[in-house]
Amino acid sequence: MEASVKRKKFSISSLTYKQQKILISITFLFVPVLLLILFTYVPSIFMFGYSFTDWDGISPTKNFIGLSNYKLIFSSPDYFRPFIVSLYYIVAAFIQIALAVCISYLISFRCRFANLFKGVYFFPSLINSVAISFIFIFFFRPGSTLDTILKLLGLGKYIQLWLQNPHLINVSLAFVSVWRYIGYDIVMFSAAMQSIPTDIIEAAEVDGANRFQQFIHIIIPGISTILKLLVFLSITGSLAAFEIPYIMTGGGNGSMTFVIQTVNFAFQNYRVGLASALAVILLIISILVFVIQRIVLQSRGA
Amino acid sequence: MKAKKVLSLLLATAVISTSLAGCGNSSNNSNSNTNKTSSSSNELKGTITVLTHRTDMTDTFNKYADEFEKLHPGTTIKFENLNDYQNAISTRMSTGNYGDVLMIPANITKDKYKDFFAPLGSKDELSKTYNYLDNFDVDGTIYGIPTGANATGFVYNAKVLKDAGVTSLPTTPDEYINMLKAIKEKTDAIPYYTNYTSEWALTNFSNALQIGISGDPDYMNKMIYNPNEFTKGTATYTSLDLLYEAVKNKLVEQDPMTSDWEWSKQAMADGKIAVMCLGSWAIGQIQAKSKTPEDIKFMPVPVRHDGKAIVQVGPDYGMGVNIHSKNIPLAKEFLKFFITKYPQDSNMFSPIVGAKLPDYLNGATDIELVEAKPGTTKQAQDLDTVQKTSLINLNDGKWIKKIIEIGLGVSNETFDQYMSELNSKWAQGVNAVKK
Repeated sequence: MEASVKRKKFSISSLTYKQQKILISITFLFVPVLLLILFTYVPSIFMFGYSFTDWDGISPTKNFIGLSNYKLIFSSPDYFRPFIVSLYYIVAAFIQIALAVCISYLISFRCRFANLFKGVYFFPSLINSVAISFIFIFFFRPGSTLDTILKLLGLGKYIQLWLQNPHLINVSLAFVSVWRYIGYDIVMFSAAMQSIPTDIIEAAEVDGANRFQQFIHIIIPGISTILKLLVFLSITGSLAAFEIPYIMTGGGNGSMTFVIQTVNFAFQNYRVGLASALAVILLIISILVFVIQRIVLQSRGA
Repeated sequence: MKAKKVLSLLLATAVISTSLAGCGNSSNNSNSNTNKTSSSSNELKGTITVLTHRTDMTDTFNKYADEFEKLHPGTTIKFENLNDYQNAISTRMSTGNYGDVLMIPANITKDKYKDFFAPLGSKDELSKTYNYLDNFDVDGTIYGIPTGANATGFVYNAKVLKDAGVTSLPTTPDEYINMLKAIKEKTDAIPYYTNYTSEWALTNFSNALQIGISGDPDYMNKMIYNPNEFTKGTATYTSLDLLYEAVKNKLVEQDPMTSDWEWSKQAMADGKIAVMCLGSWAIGQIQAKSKTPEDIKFMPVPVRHDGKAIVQVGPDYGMGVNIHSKNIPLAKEFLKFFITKYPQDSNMFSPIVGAKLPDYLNGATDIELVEAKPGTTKQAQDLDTVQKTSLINLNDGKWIKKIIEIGLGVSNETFDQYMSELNSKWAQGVNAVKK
């Protein structure tokens, strides 16, 4: 009897509710936090360190060279030119979000086969970017899929060399990017829309609000949290656009993005120090974007 | 209730410990191998891992492994063929874990060989058996053996040239461009295929053709110290101009931005492409796809010196032994075995002294094979500095793509502007060396 009482003291149920909560939280969080630290924070800290060296990524020695890498970057506008390319992706990101909101509104309310549509739209997000890039290289090839479709629609005279025309290449690539990521946005938005209580919408209907008014005054405020999050993710994602242009064009023909440039410096020119400095700058810019977005949205009282 | 909680805790710890165990696994394996080998002192026993870039030759390599294992019972050879070899291996080399035998990536400079590779023997001794050792020779000690050698120039489909009425191979850059024009006029074939998306295919213009153009086997070492390397008249300029002129005169595929290397091999085999700038190693791959393999031939650069075409023969990837390997004797033995097989199977010149030349070069009378003069350790370091400072990597085709863009007329720069921009960057690099 005494023994069992004693043993009970060591069991979880003898702890207070609060202690139990802490213990369980720690146990559950341990693995993800460990992985996060190991693969995100530790490498980032190392990266900060590398940005002050002339390390080439391979050799066992690296020399501390202070701020030279940063001086080099800020002394030439060439390093920042890829951000112009990012503008294409930012514009595309807004189009993507607008489209995603519309589509998810259509499939979330009174739509037949809603889940089928969600599946169809989400499908591209399941394919990996490398496969998508190869599909689209083929898609844009002269006389290939896109040109055939245009001809069938009687739009043959609008056929272009989609990746060769310097005015179109970034539009083409941004389009691929929209195709790739819109499904994810749609799923997020329709999940958010489904969490809006139906009685509010019904009440609005009774009061005579049409679907457009419902959309503006109920749906948009209802998904604002997710909307803000996705806008932020899309903007930083646009600044860091990488896989699709890297695989499809390797950054050639004016499609160089900031991250491709960074990767090239690190692995083609073996200047990991310089590349780390660029990565740090991108990190700082992303943080700035976040802060600016917060300030703008808060001042609007959203 | 209690049992459930204990169970969940146990499961959690199990998950954690297995996720961590992954990290230690590989080192455990190699430890067990050492135990095995040290117990049987002289005989070759144990397991080694061989890292190569030939993802297409997995079956052939497995045959090598079987043969070698039969010759030396008790050994196990594992091949790991990596995609994007150079980048993948560079990353792994900063850890100690990069197999036992591996292809030496080009970005490791000579002065660093001793940190990464086990010495294989002295130059005097090994040069009796092997050619093309210079790239792997550090002060008389050899750290790698070339897995073959290649000539660099132009691969062409002889039938297309015949259809276009081209009877003799071009001997000047002008004749070369005229040949491409004739092909465009008289046949349906694409005269020259740029392979714009495959950057490695473009680097021949920056790191190989110059020796044939200048006729100077020491050219690549001299250009490290030339601040005017990208001005008109230099071999580098001529080389890049061969590419530019072809693109400018629309003698290339309609849309280089969607070019495809795998497709181009088949197209050349079928006579849809006439000429590509490649190493001779590609001939075998293209012949394999052709119904008339004898049509796929090798053309030296369109420049002659005293009537002779100088063809640079350069070693392919060298193979070395990881200095951290737990089984160096076995690794060395397998390396020697590998070199007796691989060059033939990959259509390269064998590095073994006295081996027969491949057929596509046999009988060519006006060709002189030269080997690029190896850079000294200092020159290798200087080249590294010049390339890093100028951000022009001769082994990377990114900056060469722009020449094609200019030729197509989609860039806002002209060829001369771009060349002078490259020249001033290169000059910066040269200055950095002189300091």
